[in-house]
Amino acid sequence: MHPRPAASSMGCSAKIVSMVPEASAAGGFQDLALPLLGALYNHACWLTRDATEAEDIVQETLMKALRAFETFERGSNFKAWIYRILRNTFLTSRAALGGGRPVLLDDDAETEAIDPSPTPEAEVIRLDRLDVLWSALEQLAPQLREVVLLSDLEELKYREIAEILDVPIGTVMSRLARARQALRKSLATTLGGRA
Amino acid sequence: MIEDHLQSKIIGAIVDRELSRDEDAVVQAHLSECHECAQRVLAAYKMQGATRHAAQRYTPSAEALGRLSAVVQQQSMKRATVIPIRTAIWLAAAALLIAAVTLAGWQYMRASDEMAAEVLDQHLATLAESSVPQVISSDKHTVKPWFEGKLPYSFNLPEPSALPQDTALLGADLTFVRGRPAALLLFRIHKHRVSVIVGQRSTFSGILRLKARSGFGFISQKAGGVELLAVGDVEQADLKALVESLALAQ
Repeated sequence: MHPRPAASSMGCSAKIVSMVPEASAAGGFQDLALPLLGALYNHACWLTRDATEAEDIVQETLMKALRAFETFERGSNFKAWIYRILRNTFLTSRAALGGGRPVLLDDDAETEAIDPSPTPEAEVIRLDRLDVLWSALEQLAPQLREVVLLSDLEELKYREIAEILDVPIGTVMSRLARARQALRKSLATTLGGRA
Repeated sequence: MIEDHLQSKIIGAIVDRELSRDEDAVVQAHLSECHECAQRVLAAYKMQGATRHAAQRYTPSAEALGRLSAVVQQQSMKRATVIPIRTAIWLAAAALLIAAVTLAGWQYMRASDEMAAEVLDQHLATLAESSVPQVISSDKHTVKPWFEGKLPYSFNLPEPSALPQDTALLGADLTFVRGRPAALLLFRIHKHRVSVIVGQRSTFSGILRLKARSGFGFISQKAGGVELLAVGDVEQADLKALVESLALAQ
């Protein structure tokens, strides 16, 4: 993936239109949003699989978030709030609309597969096989991949993930269990052994 | 008391720290009796750590981060004004600098978080009842030679009498931190198990300031040509005393 070229300037030749900061709300938004830019971009890349689309979506997300910042409830989790905006922005983007119909998941499907036999995780970590894990993540259904990213990477609570995805908490737990089972199965297939 | 094996959703809730205190007590009671479930929980912790590491795949370029930072800063302004081009250039340079610092800070925090999780996972794995060190000995003349040819560096161990009171070496494992080989020394302090990972210089540079994570204390120290990182649920003073006794031996 390649970064997009710089956007064209909207300023005049001798003067540049700029803004004067408003100390209160705007400053608060900057303090909360700037540290998340890298994480938002990473998540958008996983959603869109395209660097240009990802940057567009993060930009749009930031603009929407600032416009709606007055509705953000102080003391609640800003990260969960802006990730919900990011996801909704993605769902209406070209990347999502052009990706065909999403695979419908049976969230009530049984996920149990109790198997205490040796697992491939230790081998993956020991050998630092990032390529194997990337491949396993790429093979996950998008709905399963995003719940794993929100939980394992962004460390959001089930309640927050449920709000972002607009699904019940039980569905979050089901999807997580299925995603992790699918990841282990994929690793086992690649590295040998049983999932 | 749970009699059947734990469901995958419950295993997930354990590693995601989503259980209530009462639920956790019931689950911990089951884990103390059920080796299979304890193994599955350890595997789930490892899987979570590995996934976290792999999922941090995409990093915006400095230019992209600069553009995104500019969006936040420009959109955060309320009233438009006209300013000279020279000032604007300085503001743009400042924005780029902020973006670079933000990117560096984000990458540093992510890297240190990953490493702390990796080290903690390795310590948790040693706590399982079924976990047996690769070399079981309290004798430094047995443990140290065992690492010969396995590590690209050497380290020393103190005499038992030089260890803090009620502290004993139990054994050691060869381990890996961020793909680099390291020695994991297993100690007993009072009734607690403590791991000390001995790595080459700069192995733990990302978490040298970390003091605690998930209820476990961390103490690190540079000594000689190695770095020592102790992890355990004992008092910080006990951890510190152990690390200092090891540092003196280097």
